Amino acid sequence: MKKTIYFLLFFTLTFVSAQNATFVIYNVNMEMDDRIKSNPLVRESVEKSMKNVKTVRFGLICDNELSYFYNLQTLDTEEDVFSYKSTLILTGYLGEIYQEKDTLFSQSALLGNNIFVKKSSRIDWKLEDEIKIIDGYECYKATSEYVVINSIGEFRHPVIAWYCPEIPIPYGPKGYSGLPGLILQLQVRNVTFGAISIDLKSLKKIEMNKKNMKLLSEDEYKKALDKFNNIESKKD
Amino acid sequence: MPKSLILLLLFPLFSLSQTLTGTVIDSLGNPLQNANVIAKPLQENASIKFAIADNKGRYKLELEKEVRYEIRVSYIGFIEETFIYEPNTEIKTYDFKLKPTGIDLKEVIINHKYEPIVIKKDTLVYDVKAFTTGNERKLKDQLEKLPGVEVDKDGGVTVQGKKVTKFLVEDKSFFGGGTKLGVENIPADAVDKVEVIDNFNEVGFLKQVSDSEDLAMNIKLKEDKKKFVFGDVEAGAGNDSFHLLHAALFYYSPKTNLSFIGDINNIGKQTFTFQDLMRFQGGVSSFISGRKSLTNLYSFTSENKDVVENKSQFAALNFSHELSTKLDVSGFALFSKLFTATQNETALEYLQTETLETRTQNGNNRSLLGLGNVKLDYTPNKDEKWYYNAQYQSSANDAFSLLNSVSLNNQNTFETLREADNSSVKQYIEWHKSISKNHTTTLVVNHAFENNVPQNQWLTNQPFLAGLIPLEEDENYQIAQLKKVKSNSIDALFKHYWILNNFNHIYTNVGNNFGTTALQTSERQFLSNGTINDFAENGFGNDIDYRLNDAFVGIEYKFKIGKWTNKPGIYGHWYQLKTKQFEENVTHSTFLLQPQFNSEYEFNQSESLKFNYRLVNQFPEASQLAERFTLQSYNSVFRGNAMLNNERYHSAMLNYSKMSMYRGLMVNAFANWNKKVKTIRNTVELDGINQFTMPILTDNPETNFRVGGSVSKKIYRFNLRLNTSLSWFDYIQEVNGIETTNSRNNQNIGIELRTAHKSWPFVKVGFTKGFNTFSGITSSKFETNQFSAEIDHEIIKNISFKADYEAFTNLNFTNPNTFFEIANASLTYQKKNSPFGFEFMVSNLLNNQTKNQNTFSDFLISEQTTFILPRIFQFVVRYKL
Repeated sequence: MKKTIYFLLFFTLTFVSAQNATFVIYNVNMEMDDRIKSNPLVRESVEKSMKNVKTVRFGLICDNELSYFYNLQTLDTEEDVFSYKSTLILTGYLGEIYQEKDTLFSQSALLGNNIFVKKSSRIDWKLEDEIKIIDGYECYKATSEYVVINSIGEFRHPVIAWYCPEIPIPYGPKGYSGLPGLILQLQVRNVTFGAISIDLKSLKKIEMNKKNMKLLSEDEYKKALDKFNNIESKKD
Repeated sequence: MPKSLILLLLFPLFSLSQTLTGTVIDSLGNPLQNANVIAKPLQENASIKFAIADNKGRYKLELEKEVRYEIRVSYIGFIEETFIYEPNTEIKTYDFKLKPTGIDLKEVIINHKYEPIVIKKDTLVYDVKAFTTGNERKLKDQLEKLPGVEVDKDGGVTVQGKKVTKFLVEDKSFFGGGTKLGVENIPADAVDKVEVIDNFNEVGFLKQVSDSEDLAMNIKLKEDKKKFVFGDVEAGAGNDSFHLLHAALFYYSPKTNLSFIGDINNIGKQTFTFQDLMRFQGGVSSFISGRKSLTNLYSFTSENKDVVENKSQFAALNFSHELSTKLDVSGFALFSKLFTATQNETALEYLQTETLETRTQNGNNRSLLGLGNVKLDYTPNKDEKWYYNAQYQSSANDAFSLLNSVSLNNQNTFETLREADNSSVKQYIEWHKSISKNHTTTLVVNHAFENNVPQNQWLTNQPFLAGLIPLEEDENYQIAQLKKVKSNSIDALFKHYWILNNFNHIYTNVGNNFGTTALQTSERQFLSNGTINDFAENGFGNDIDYRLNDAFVGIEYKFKIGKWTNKPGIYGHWYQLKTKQFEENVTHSTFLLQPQFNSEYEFNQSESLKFNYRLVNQFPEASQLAERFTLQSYNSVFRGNAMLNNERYHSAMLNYSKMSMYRGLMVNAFANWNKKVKTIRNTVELDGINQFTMPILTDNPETNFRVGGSVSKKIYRFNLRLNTSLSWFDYIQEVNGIETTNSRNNQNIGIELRTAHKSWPFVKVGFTKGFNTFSGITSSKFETNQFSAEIDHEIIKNISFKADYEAFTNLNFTNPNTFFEIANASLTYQKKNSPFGFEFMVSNLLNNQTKNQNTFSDFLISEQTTFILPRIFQFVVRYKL
């Protein structure tokens, strides 16, 4: 009897959680940079990307356990796939990102489809008291830094998030999370993600299969890239 | 299960904090899990605090003392509630009870134009003064003194092991953007600061497969040193008066860049490097149609040592100037004078008649080329872009050749003189505009005019082409041929991109290609008695006006289903071909539908399969339609066919690629299939070595099938690569009235191993095996073996050694095998900080005299021996300005 109750309880809980997924679609904007403007080769690629990026969409699915951020494979006007891929990379998208509790699993499509980097999702947010209204939703500003640690030193890029406390989901694009509310707008350097639709009762499910993932620590990831650079930098 | 219950303060200052707890529930008393409780301080110098309600709706806020807060709970679908928290009160708990708004929200659509904030970039700045002594000559010498910066011998820069991939001066690309040119040339006394800018992204996007630390380096110049001249001068002398003079000079100023390249050499060396070419041509437009291609400068970037003499003089000047932030102008002019002498021996076998011919040819060629090009690049705003490019080219070629032909019952010696004056004007304009989010347009208009006047003269003491040309008997025969070809074309294309939604696009193309050609040919015999025998009386000499108009409209629909992208398209072409020959007009108009289909399945970001199909109609050229005889060479006469119509073929391609960087694996495979259903092919009348050819249009199928691929894998510190390319070509050839089915097959399989480690010498070895077969009325086959090796290593400091070797074997099954090997080596001494560099080089180290090559053509097999430049020792001195 007791077992049945437990079972029922469990069943209803999972059922409820399956019902409770939220599905957010983000668009992307990219800005030109003075430095890029002056280099004709780079400029051309960025110009193309600024055009292509209009059709790029990202999806975020969250349930009580997990969140999953990925590129919604939309069409682009370019003839070659290469430029669409470089556009994705220019938005900072290197692959899909899963979040489980405080751990991020970020795919490195560059190294291989099954290669995921495991790292902490913790972000030191600074909560600002600036407020802005995004289509009727009151959003608060939070800032952080995106740190690239090169052997040259540390490069810090500002990250600005506008989160909406009214939507009780502590997630956002690109693995940015931990704020009291869904991030509707996220700017990382020159790239801005903006939520365009939120399905609060989505039937989408997150399927994360760690068995099919080759997990790397951040150190291992760096080493793998270095190893790869070794081949590339020698002779072309 | 619900995760962490409560997120605590960001900066916990426990001694100064007070706690507020409570619950968030709805009006029915159900907990509102995950509700956000935000405490906003109502005074300066305090920060926002928040808490997230747990599964029972409980929250716990840690608040600062002495601070007044506005505590707010909002939850979608409920009316928000606010509570003012007064400091130093006794209140320790507060429960929020939210009333529903009554609207059941399922989906929220947000209409908002997200505007980013402009962010300044971060850079690492080295103040050069602080690290250098002031005795440095070039930027390179300074960079080496900066902590963590290294410059390798190829001019690559690394900053603590990471490669600099973009090089800028005063925030602008420096003569094309490579580091080598800038680093080795910018005078040290002009450099003020060196900035290292991390790239836009952690993954470099130009190389796609790049490191996480793609870097740009920007050089800031001293205020008073913003203009300077630099460059390289190189002089070399060797055995047998072989010499080399090369100068590359540059002028830099922030708004104007000039570069000059001058070269004189007689060792067959290329005058242009690939980098030079990129700098000269700039970005090539993305809408290149067949006719639009400008002059091919690539020929200047390849060496030509397969000659017995090669004297080249070359000068080129390139400029780019920024007129305003919206308008850039760039251009180049070049001048080339080239003399080459060639020597070949060829053994030919005519398949149908089983005639054997041995040909010995000595020739020389003088060519002069002048070229000017201007390009404008205008960006009025971020939604619009204009390009304009104009080019003028003029060239003169004089060639002389002495040819000796020996066949069974014939021996003949010909002197051939050829003079050709060519000139052309080409221009195009491109306009791109993005009208709205969902509509983009492109317009391209291209115009080209060409005028070619080649003249040929054949001199011999024996009659030739008996029965094919109306020779009058003489002691010496002199035949002159004059051709005039004038062609003009105007092509226009308008493209509209319509983005219906994320998964459906429609592209519309409307265009017109219009081309005219006026072709005249005439042949005459100059007799020793002073009279002229005009071949025109015997059906020679052409005069044709040709115009082809192709008006087309096409629609393409692109859609995506999951990972599968498709783009079917259909084009309607209205072709109109008009020719006029000797008052006889032929007009041919036809409307043809040309379907096409592109499809791609992307398994994942690094693995994809592509398929393309097209139906193509191709119309004959003016020369193929000119229906009177034309003398083509000492043993062939051609006659066009005014009744020719379009060829038609199916073209399909399948492509697979997979890349795994982590495993160091790359796989590429392709299959191409072309099938002609309407074919234009020359019919051949063979008589001994003499040929008469005429094109006809048939329904005979022709199939061309090619498959190939490559696999490369990193194994330990080596890279192993396998290559293969297999092709089959089946066609029906009519020779002497007999149709035979021929097939020509070529197969190449290769393997290559190279070192892939930074600190190792670069070594590469490879072997390629080729199989070639011909089968038709007779069959024949040959095989080739090609072995190659390369090494590049700095043996001791400042001295580096480079060598390459190639061995080539032709395995014949009827004739003896032929073999040749080529080796080159060089030893370079370049002391750091010194403007002088020295090189001792040997080309054709083994002093090999000839190269051999076997080929099949439609009805003959040939085995050619080419004489090449001998061994050259050369000592070269370089000086850096």
